[in-house]
Amino acid sequence: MTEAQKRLDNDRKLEKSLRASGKVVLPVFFKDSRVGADARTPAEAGLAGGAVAVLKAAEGGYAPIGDEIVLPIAPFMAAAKGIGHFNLVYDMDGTARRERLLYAYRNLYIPSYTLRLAAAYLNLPLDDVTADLGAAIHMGDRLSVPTTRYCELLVNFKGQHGSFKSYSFFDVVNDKIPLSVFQNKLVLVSPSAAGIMNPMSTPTDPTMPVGEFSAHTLWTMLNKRFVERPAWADFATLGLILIIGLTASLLLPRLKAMLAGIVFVGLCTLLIAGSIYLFVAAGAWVPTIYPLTELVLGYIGIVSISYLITETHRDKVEGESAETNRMLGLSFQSQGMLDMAFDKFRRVPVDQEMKTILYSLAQDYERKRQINKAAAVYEYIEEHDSRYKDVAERKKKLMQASETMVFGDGLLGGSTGDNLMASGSDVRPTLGRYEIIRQLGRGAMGIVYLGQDPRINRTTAIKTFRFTDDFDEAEVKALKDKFFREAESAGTLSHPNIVTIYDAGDEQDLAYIAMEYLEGEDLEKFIKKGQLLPMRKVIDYVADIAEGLDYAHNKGIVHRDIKPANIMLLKSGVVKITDFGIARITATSQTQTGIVKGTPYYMSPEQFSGKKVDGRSDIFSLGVMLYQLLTGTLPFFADNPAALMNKIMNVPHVDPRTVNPKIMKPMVQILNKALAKTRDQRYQRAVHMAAHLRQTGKHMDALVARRKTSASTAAAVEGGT
Amino acid sequence: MRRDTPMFRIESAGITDVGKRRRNNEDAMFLDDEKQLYIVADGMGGHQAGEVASEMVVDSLRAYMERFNENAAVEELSDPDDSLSKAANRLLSGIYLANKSVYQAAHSKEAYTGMGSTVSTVYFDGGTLIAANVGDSPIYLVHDGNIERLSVPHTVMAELDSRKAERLGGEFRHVLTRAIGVNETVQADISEIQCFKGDILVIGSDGLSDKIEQHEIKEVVRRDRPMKACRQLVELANERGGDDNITVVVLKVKNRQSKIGRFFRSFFKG
Repeated sequence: MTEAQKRLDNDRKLEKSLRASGKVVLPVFFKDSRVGADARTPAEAGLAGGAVAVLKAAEGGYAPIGDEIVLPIAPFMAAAKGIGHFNLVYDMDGTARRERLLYAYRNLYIPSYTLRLAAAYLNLPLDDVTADLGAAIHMGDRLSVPTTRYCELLVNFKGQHGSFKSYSFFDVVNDKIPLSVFQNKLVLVSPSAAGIMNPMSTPTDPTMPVGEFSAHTLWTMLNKRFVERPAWADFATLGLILIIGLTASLLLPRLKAMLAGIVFVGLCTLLIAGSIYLFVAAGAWVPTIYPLTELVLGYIGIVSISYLITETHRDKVEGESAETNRMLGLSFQSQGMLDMAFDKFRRVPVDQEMKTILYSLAQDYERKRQINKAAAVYEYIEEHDSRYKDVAERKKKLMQASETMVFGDGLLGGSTGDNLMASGSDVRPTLGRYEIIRQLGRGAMGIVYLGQDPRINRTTAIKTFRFTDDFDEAEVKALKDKFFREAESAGTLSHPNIVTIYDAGDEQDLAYIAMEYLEGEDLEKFIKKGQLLPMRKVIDYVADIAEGLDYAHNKGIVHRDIKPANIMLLKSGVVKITDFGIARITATSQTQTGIVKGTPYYMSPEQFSGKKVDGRSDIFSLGVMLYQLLTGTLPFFADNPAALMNKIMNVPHVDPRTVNPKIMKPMVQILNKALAKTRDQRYQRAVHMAAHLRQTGKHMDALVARRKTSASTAAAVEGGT
Repeated sequence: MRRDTPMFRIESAGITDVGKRRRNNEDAMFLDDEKQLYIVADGMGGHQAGEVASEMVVDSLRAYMERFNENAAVEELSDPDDSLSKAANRLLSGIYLANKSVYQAAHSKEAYTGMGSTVSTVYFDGGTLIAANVGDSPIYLVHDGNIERLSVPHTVMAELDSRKAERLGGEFRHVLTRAIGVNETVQADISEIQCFKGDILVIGSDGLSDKIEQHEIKEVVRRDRPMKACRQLVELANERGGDDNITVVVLKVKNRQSKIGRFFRSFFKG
């Protein structure tokens, strides 16, 4: 009894307060029920007073329908200023974005709680609030609230959590809050404790108390911050979906990966930023969530597909490949294509076998004098196994050697040092197919090495020529061509008194000739007085040389540089002419710089006058050499080239007998003929000179024989008597 | 020497299909529009050897030709043929290199004994196209409405006169007189001809030429874009039996693009 009484008492108290205030709006609530409650409750009688008048209905406009209404008790309703429903509505994603401003109940249009409050705040009697169903709700002539076709208001949120001041009910009731705070404000009293009234999910706050939501709604209405869904919004959304669809399916897959990514990010940003801007600046809400989702899914799809395709492709390519690469690499290596081989080997996992293979590759590079590349291979091995054999030391040694180099990739440059042996590597260097064993000497044109042809195990002499860097590419090529042509023609010579040439080639900028290795000395040794060879021998040797020359002349090849340094006397007693034709090339290459190398004691007059030389020029040079071998002096001598030239061309040679009285008359004749200034007066063919020499030799032999016999006869006679 | 800017642009597409009867695909192909080099190889040999052989051929030829673009010093043939251009000599060197590699590999392992491959390759250099082949993989040229075969088939059948050829049984039709990897050296056939805009080249394996007539190939490639043409030809070959691997590469010669065209094209892949 007391409970019920207490309640009644409280009700009466509340009713009194309501009446006293006269400014309180009470909430009502619509329930969904299949069967609409037929009977009108007593409270409903006053409902009409709380309804909004609908003036007209926009095309297709209508309000949500309420089946059953839950009202406060009649005394409260009578005491309140007005009523409004607080039914909430959520979008498909569970977020609340709108407020249903009207509900149709029976024939009445019940305003929302917020709408009623707004009218009250503006001091508008409810009669002045009229609805244009589906278009707008007019608050007198002060304010027109646009609605959707369904009489909904799109709520524009003032801001993040805490945009409106809220106070705990407990504090207010216990006078902790000064009442002045609430003056002239709309005050919403709502339950917020969890369990009693769960918070709502909104765009700005996933756990927004209901009261705050109403506050945002009121703020939207009263400050006219309407969010319109412009009529064109639907078209815009459709249009965007179409555009994104086309872009994603046609354009993005064709663009390069990086560019596609940039375009994707750009479009996303545009969509998001665009919609935000429209919302904030123009209050227009264009839903971009669908186009955005479409774009993201589309892009992910494209990226996944292309990734999968390339991955599977790569798998297929790499699967077999390690084995194939190893085989290819070995093949390339065996054919001398070391760079390609290394390239392939790099794609093979490095196991013990590979390390051996790589080590041998590095050694091949060393043989080719490509020191930097050899070091790179050693380094590669080192990365995988620093203890493998001696890779670390080798690498170090090679790198040190390469630092002291002046030019090029592997060859030591500099003006004096182009020695193949000093490359810091202890692997025999190779030049073409020849292994270089050691240096033999330094010729006028380059270093001579002892080499070996590994294929047939033949020892050869390798004469090297370096084309100086003074020339440009075209000139070097021209010189090389000439060089090889001459080597080719010299290679056709096959004569017991001519050094046989086996091979010629070039590597990088070093040209070489592989020739017969001769054990002996050149005639330079025998041109000084006191070191001369016996005359008889000289005659024979020079005759041999002349015959050799004749053979070459018949083949159209002129030596051009006959001198003692180019004649080898072997241990076996045979003389051989060396450097056929080659001398000319290197001479040309050197005279390019305008310096005449060496002194041309042996040059013929016509060579100076620049005439085209033929075999007779060699005969002249041979004559000079013969003179020297017989006398120990040169027929033409001067301090400087100019004076020398003059002597050779104009001044007759000194009679050799003045230097060496033992020289016989026939010899003088031979010399004179060989040294004739006009070549028409010389021996026309070297074989004639040879014949003449041999004849003279025979005479000498006969003379000696006669002297011997007469001597012995004399001895016999003397002895006999 | 860096490659000069090419005179033509090539639009290419290629498909290799295992066919209907075979278990694995022993054909290999390579296409590169930038380098303008295209290769098809048809491998043979027990087990997987055919695949390995054709892959090695394509790989070594490609790697060799790539060296020139990189401006590196590469070994060339010791006796280049003076009647051919430098590029053609290089292509030949590449083929000989590939031959040696496959030959050596075939002798290195029991599993690879007897393996070999054909090779058919097309390379564009300036305004000329260079076509080289060893074996029976065809290279066709469609020019001015006519189709002709640029490659020389190195088969017993082709080298016999027609009477004898007819008597050859089915298995013998494919016996090759020349192949990559079978002997230490090999002789390739090569031709260099002037290239024109609108020309179409088709490189294939015998899986294609066995099933489809030349005039049919001509029709398809003239009508459709390369990718579509490839698909159609492969489908057709499969429809007609598909008992060998089928590979088709279709090349269309187009004008060089303007700078603007190239600028826009640089955004697109492939």
